[in-house]
Amino acid sequence: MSVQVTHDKTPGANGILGNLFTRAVGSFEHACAAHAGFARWYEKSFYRDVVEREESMAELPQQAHVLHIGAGRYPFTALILARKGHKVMGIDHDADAVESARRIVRAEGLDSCVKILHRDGTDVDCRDYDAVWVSFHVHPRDVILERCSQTLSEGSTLIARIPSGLGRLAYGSCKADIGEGCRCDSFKSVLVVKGGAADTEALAPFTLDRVPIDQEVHVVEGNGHPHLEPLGIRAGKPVRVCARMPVGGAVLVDIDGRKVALGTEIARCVRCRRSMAVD
Amino acid sequence: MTDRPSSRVLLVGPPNVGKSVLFNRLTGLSAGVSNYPGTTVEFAEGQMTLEHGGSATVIDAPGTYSLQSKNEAERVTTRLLDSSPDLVLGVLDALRPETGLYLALDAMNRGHPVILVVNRIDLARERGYAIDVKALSDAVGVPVLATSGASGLGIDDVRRNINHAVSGERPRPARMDIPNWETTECLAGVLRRETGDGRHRGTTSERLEDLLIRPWPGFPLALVAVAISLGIVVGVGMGLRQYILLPLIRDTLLPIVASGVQSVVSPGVLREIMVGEYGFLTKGIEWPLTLVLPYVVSFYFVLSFLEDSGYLPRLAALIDGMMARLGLSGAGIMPLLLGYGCGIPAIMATRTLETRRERLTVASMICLAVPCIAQTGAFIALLAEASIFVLLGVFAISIGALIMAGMVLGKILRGTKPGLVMEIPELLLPRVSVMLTKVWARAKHYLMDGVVPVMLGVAFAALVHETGAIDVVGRYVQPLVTGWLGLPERAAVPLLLGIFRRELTVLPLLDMDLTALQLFTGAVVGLFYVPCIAMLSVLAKEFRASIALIILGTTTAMAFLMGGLLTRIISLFMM
Ligand SMILES: Nc1nc2c(ncn2[C@@H]2O[C@H](COP(=O)(O)OP(=O)(O)OP(=O)(O)O)[C@@H](O)[C@H]2O)c(=O)[nH]1
Ligand SMILES: [Mg+2]
Repeated sequence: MSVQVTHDKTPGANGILGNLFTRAVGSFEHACAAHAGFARWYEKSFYRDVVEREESMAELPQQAHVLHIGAGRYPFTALILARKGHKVMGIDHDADAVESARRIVRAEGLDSCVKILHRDGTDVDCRDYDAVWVSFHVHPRDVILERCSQTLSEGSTLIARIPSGLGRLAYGSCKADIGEGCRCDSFKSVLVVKGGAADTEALAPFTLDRVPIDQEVHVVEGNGHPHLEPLGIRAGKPVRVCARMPVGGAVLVDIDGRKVALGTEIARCVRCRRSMAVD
Repeated sequence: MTDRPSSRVLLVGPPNVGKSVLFNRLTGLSAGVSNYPGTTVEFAEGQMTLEHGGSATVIDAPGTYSLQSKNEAERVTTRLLDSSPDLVLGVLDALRPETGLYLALDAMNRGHPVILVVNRIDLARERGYAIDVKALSDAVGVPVLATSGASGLGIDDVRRNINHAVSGERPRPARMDIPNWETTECLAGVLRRETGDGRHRGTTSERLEDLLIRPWPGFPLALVAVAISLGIVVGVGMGLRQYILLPLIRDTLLPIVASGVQSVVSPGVLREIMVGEYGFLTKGIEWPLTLVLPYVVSFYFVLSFLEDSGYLPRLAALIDGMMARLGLSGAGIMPLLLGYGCGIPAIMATRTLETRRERLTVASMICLAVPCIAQTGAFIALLAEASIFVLLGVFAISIGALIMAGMVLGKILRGTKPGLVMEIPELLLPRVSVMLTKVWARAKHYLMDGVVPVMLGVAFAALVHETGAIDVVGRYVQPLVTGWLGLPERAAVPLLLGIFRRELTVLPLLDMDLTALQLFTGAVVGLFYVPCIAMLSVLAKEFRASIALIILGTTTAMAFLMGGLLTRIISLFMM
């Protein structure tokens, strides 16, 4: 399997703005490291939701082994995952950050579950992990992502945080093309890549109710409604969404020229795949 | 050979492939046909004569997408299959053969002797496909026939094959493996090839199809369609009444009847009951034939246009989001619309809905606040002359009550929320002859089943009136009818009669010289008041007797409650 991640170098990407941004993140984590109460509040009110959402996309098994690339000065993600019973290996290429992170892990009493190593992300080996998190600000992201997806083992998941909105201005956008054997999906700012052959457990759903109008996708799996297969909504079939009614109305799809209307609830349970993932 | 019980030939196929059309061709009957999935919800049997005398029983079954039935209509079909028919006609749609093919292969796998019928080949040819039945027949090892039910092409061939199959050497059921979609698609490819010289996509009708179903301009167009439909129902109905039926019935037929009776029956109570002011041979004939029949005709004309064009599933898709708020799916709109014609087929049509909860909700909504066309005809007669606003007001109340009922039932009934999975058929131009046949069938049905009960009802009313029994009855109902509803005592009679025919709750109010407010109250009570006895028995059969009773009780209570409340509220404003 292969994942080609091409980095779209918009002018200014990783330039002054990118630098500023990285610095801002750095000092924010610095602040967190210094004020435990603030960090805890931030973790509870914002970060935990993000990680929980990613965790559900990754469909982690119990006590999973997780690698986090770019763990940072204050390893929020690692801590949150560790509190959920997972074993986390965090790496960062900044020696200072590693020092600080270790201190915090110890202070939180989680050093049996979280290890922090000083390592570069470009030559990691993801084989032994159930899931790999790649931070937002890792550099060079395209190399790291490619390396990860090459070493990701079957059934494991890569969760890559992708710049969106303002972040994209700073870091440039990311275009990923997934090849044979991978399933890929993107949520606003997260890229999910599932390693392994196409018949492994599908990744967190990218469902029919969210397919843009007039885009063609391939059905991965119906939802067990016995009318879907006879109507052509079955694995491997190309479908096109022709219209979507407003406010939770039906989705109209076209399969080989046959038109079928699906209620949103039904469409939400039809999983699809497309070759292009992120823009 | 003729004393053998006649062979049973079952038509099985996905919805909307033309099974009922084929059934009608084979048996000469007229089962309901229309261009949306789920027209047939109950099986129908007919006889087909065989070559050497004797006959075979042909059975039209509801369409089904698979043999794991998802709804009540599909269960009818699987049950029929389980009763091991002598021959299964597996009907496929030439435009999209794989669905029906899979089903037929599944039936073969279960050991049924099958003949495949590829219907609607005219449509497939028009779209640029060539159909090769020989190739498919060689591949699956059973006869494959091509037909066009619409034009009758290939029907003789079907007859011949049925004949062959049921007389003498019965075809060995060709045992098949459990079908899978890959092989089915391959076989469909064997059957159907693209020739490339068909009508290309992007034609006018194709573009219209797109426009009708996109939110814009689909929604505004739907409103326009509903408005035009209403306009035609009311306009054409009034025209028919004014220019055809009134001159024919009231001015020509009734005087003859009256003078005939007068020459035989001496003046007295009996004559009054027969041809007096409210006699059953005067009003009893005039009301149903000039007040209701015209709207039956105009309504079913519009409904068959909507059914045959294929617009209804589009409406269902458009409205699904709104119906979801009521815990229903867009598919519920079909039975509701049918209910504006007659409640009985409407309640039957709920069989295509997936969950029992949805069926029950829609059926209750129909019973509570969907007036059948006979009642609507009566409303128009009663209210349109007083003021068109009163008429619109009653319909606004009907719609409001439907929404309320949906919301309340959504709260109290348990069960999973339904989801819409609806195939959107091709738009077809309805054929006038087919529409006229349908209208005629409904009109005939009304003449046979509707007129006599109304005459009897009017006779009963006249009897009660002429004999003075009304005074006795009136005393008992006085507090409710006069006190609470503000109607004259005589209005108790229509309420009694309403259980037999819904229009009878309204029609007798016509000649009571009521004020606009009383008319409105009477109409509201009539709207909510009990479903007719025939509907109740269908309810009991489709659900349970207790449910019919609950609906009977609730609608009665609602009728009096709403009638009384609205009278009071409106009279507050009028003072
Ligand atoms: N052009 C064309 N239209 C056809 C043909 N046969 C049927 N139709 C149309 O197809 C539509 C469906 O026909 P039905 O007979 O109601 O289909 P059905 O299979 O009984 O459908 P259900 O009762 O819903 O299962 C109707 O609008 C028919 O007029 C055909 O041979 N050619
Ligand atoms: Mg039918």
